[in-house]
Amino acid sequence: MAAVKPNTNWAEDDIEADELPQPTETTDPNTGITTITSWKLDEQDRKVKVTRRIRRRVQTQVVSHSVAERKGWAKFGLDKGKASGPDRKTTIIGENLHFRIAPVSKAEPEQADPVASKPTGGKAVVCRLCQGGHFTAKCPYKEQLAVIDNMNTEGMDEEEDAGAQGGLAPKGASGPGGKYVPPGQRAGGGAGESMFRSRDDLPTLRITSLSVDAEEDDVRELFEKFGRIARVSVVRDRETRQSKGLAFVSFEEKKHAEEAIKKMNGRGYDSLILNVAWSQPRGERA
Amino acid sequence: MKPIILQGHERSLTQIVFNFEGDLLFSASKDSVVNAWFTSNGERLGTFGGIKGDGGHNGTVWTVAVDSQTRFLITGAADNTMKLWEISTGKCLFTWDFLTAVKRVAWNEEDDTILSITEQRSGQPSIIRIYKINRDEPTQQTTTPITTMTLSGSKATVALWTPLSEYILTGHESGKVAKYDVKSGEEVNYIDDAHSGEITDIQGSPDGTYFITSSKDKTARIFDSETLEEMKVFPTETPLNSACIAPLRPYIILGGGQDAMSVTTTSQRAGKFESRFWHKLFEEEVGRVKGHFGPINTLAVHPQGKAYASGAEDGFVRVHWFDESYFRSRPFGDLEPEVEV
Amino acid sequence: MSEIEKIDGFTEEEQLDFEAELQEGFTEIEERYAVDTQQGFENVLVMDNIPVIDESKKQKLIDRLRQLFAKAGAPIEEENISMPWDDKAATNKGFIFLTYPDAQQAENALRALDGASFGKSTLYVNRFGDIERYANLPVGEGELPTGWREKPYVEKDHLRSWLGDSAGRDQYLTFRDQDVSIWWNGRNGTAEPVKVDGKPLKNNKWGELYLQWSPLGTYLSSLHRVGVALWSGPKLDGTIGVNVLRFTHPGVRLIQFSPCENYLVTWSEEPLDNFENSPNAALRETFGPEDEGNQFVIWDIKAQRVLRTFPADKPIQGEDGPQQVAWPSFKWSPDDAYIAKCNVGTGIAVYELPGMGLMDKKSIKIEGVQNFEWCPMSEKDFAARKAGKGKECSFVYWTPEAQNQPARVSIMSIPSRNILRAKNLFNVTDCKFYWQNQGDFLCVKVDRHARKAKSKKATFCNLELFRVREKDYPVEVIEFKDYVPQFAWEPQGSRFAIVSSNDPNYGQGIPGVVVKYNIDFYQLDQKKGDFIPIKHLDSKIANTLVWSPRGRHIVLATIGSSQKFDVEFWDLDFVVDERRETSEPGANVTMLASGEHYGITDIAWDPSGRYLTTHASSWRSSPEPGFCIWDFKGQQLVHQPMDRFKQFLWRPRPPTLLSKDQIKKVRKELKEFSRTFDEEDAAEENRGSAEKLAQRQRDISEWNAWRARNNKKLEERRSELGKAKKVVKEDHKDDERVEEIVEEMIDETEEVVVG
Repeated sequence: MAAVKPNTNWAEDDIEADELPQPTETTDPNTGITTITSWKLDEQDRKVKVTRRIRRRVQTQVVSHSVAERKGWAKFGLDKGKASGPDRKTTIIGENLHFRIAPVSKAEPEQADPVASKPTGGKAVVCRLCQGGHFTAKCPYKEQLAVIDNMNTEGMDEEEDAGAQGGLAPKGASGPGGKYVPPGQRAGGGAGESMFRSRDDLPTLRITSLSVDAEEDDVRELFEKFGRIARVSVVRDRETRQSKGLAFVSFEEKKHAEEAIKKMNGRGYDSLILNVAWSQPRGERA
Repeated sequence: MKPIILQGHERSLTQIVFNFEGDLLFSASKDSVVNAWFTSNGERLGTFGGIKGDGGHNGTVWTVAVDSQTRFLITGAADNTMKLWEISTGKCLFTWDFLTAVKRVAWNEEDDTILSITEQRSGQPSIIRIYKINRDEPTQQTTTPITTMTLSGSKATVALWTPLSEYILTGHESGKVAKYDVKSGEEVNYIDDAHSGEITDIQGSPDGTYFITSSKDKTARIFDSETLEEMKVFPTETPLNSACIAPLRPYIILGGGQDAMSVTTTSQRAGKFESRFWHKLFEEEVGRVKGHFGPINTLAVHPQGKAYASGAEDGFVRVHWFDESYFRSRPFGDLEPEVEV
Repeated sequence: MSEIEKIDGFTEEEQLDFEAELQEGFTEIEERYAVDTQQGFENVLVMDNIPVIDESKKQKLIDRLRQLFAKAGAPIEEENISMPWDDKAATNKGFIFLTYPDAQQAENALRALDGASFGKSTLYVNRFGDIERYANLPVGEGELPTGWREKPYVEKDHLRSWLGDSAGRDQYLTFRDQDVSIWWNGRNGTAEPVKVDGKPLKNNKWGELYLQWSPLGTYLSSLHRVGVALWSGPKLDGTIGVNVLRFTHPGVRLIQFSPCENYLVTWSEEPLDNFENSPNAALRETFGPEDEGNQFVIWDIKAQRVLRTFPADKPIQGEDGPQQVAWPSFKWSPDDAYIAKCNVGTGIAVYELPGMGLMDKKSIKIEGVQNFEWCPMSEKDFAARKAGKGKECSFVYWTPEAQNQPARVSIMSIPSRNILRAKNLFNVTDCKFYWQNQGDFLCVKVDRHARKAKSKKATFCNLELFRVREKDYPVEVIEFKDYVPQFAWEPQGSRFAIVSSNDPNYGQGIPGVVVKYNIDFYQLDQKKGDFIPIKHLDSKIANTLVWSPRGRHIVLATIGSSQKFDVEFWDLDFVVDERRETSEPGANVTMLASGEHYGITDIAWDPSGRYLTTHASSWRSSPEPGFCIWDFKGQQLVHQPMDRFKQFLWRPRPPTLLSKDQIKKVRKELKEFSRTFDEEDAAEENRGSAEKLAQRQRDISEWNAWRARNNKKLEERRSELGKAKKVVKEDHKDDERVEEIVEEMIDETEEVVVG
């Protein structure tokens, strides 16, 4: 975000501009690095302190004569008399965007946000490499699938991991970002059973608030009466093998599944009230 | 690629243009100021207007055009004037007065003639005027156009010179695209329903033999300059405000208004308005660049295809220099048309 | 001439005549009385490569040599040994003459002594006559001896050309009905037939019996009625003798390559006849009378000739069913230096290659020996050998309980025959050997019976784990109360997986009953040096486990069941959150996916470990022949049912030629390359169907044509008007250097502030 907010920034209200303290700037004479501290509000309207470090350096270019000539023009208008070099109030170098030309499918969010490496609320996490339920940066197959889609690409290209074997691991990139995805929801988690996705296109129900004593057969018994069941699976803890109170039932017929929801949702079972709903493919789940 | 964010306007951008060598970028805004920027590092060269009494505009600057020698600048504004500026000093050399706002200006290939479109309003029709420019004595300009085209039908919103300065291509509020002979002022060709909505921008190919139009009808189209034959169509989901054709690589860049989708999802403040890259030949989208906080109003591309810039409602201009991967990209395998510079 | 004194009374002329006559005479006389060196010396042998010694050792040398000759069955008297002496150097000349009483004995001696080793060197023996003959052969410079035909030089094709595929794809072979096709396995399982000159590679001759790739992928071998054919080169075809190698062995049924692809063993059901008078030239030339009755043939591949043949084993008396040939009967050492065969009960015969002579001229007697396995060599071992520091080959064998000896497992080193390690075992029913593929570990799975059990049927088992790289080969024993049908080391790794079952239904083969298995993973604990269990999976139906050739991934499958056809993909190092890597080892064992392949009969990983094929062969009466290709994560990429589907074979790859440093370099630069690969991949994916491709190409050509037209028109018009085109100045004559100040952001951090 800009250090100075023009008050026509239509994404924000003017009111908030008053509450935040003014940005400050300090330059370290030894390193020549300028540190700018500014303030902004995040999604939840919390005050966020933004610290940006900038360095000025001289860059040489070979250009044609006319271009060189123009470089030498004196500044005019509002900039009259100003020193050479970009004025920080008017010019800011933005963060690295990872821009890639590739055919875009309409659904996928293709480009990385320049600012946010935090998960966008409401969008499910899909690893771009293997489509697992985790961040691309944390994909366990980074090395094999070898992609540098940096979620947080700040300074990535400058810092080279000297001698890093799997030099693909974004150093510290996973630091700030990364919603914690519980193991049960990661790709492949869960007691050796393929979960969270109904087999083929079978209509599948998710049953939560299930008694931990209920086993596959019990669940099958419960739902058999609505129609033929293609498959039942009870989600178990990987180590203890204990039921997590969650099960999936795939019916052969969709109307049987619907009937089951109607009748079983809210029904009592073993001193718990069952919750029966459609199971959604991971991509759509909020 | 790292965008350079130029923050020199207090209100939304209306038009941005690169100069011929691509080292300067000029931005016009509703804040009545035109800025000149060095594109390599984002340093601002100066402003045209902005200081009281310096001869600047008094209202939204709708349009800006730079000659190929980067000597003179023409601007048109809502204060019913068109001004000629000296770029090296920022001095206003001449002002033309009209009855209505000037919506579009453009230099011809030889830098000796300009066109201007004045707005249709309260009794005044939309008029296109062609003026000869005196380069030797810039402060002495003629106020008599060599040709005047008074439009009877839908008002012209945008216009473009054809190569060799023989014709003008126009885009209209109705979606009509027309071609006028510069000398006679006659409409020699037109397509009434080229677009189904107002045409918001018209930009030419590097050699001018075809051009692209963007429209509120959510599409952009490429037409042959000679025949006005529609060559390509790019349908999007949002009304488009600007389109340009990138040299060197077969891509076009489109920018526009509110994405219906993005409104609903998150309340993120990060700039989510995107410039969109499409493959010119295959009519498929190939990339998006986010960053603006408001709808993109204007796009311009470096004449050698090395960079592009976008200006939006948020008052920011973002200059992007393409990196290696852009030039190497082959999104559809090795199928490539001939390279255009 | 001038030396001859003038004989009185003769003129000079006459004297010259005399001399000429004398010379002539001499030559005549010489010829007449010349000893024919090629005849009459049939009982003399020349032996060279004798150690060069001085006077002091001379007697000792002669004594030793005589001892050797006597042992070999060709004793000789000292006086019949003639050792030429170099007076100047005061040493012998390195060769000796041996005179035997008669030609027959000399021949005998020749056969017995030629090639015999004497200390460090090998002695070479030749007939005295031969040497002269060869020395006198009228062979001019560059001429070939008579009878030799010069073969035009045929440049051999690059035998490893398939490795040069730019997309790094592996090849596989499908054998269906009579057709054999070879494909490239592209990303996402897209298969592209291997093309030669634009046409898919096909050869009708391949589909006769069955096919097999050589261990490093260089040859494709096909079995035929008359023998084995090896196909190689980029076309897998070509000139016979160059790209197509033929090995005539009527009725051949089984073949096996040596690990370095130098040799081949073939076995035929039919014992060889005496082909001396066979009308078939190939048979006549390949086999000799001594091969009659044998069923095993050992070949030198490149020279295409028989090295040796062997008779079949006495059939193993099995308790049930038909007698089976234990294959492979001959086992190669990993460096192709030896081939060994276990003669059950008596010993192990180790033959040196290529001579096919018994090592040390006799087999290793091990009473009661049942089975043995060579220890594999890893890359490091081969490299060490090259550097001269390598260790010897070794193999492990076991002997069952004998009268006064417990059962024992031993590791012996070849050629020194040193026992590196031995361990006694008790109550042993059977032993199976499993070497880890780098030769780092050995597991001996010992099936044991309860003491004093009547039937000696195995009821439980032990795993004896030898850590071969450590001093004294420490052994760790893991006991199991269950039956362990399968064991597998992780390739290149230090883990292993076993399948065990305590289900009483195991082995019963009761139809309809699904046997339950347990699967355990063990890992070498670096600190303690022992193997510790890291993961235990209960009640699985899978009965087969196959590691990926790169390790880390393993597939569990249920094969042979009539109801269950599951295939499960597991990852032992599944790490999602890098920060939590320090958790205990077993925590990362995760199942990635599970799938099903109806009618599955076999599993095979591709050599790179990226893809897995499950296939169902009609030879094993699968209900649904065909194959599926999965990626290593368990996603099914291809499903291809095909009736009469017989074989699916990945083409193996030779080990990498990159040095360790180069590998490191590749990893470092992977970052950059991966970007390009990614784009290429994306491009490939989006190329879409052939239709789309054609459409796009049409678009392009239309566009280009249109543009060309327009440009032309413009140019014409331009010249009409006499206007010049504006170009960016390409000449950089007036270029200048400009400096400008650029700002760059180093980093930006955000923190939420409370209050």
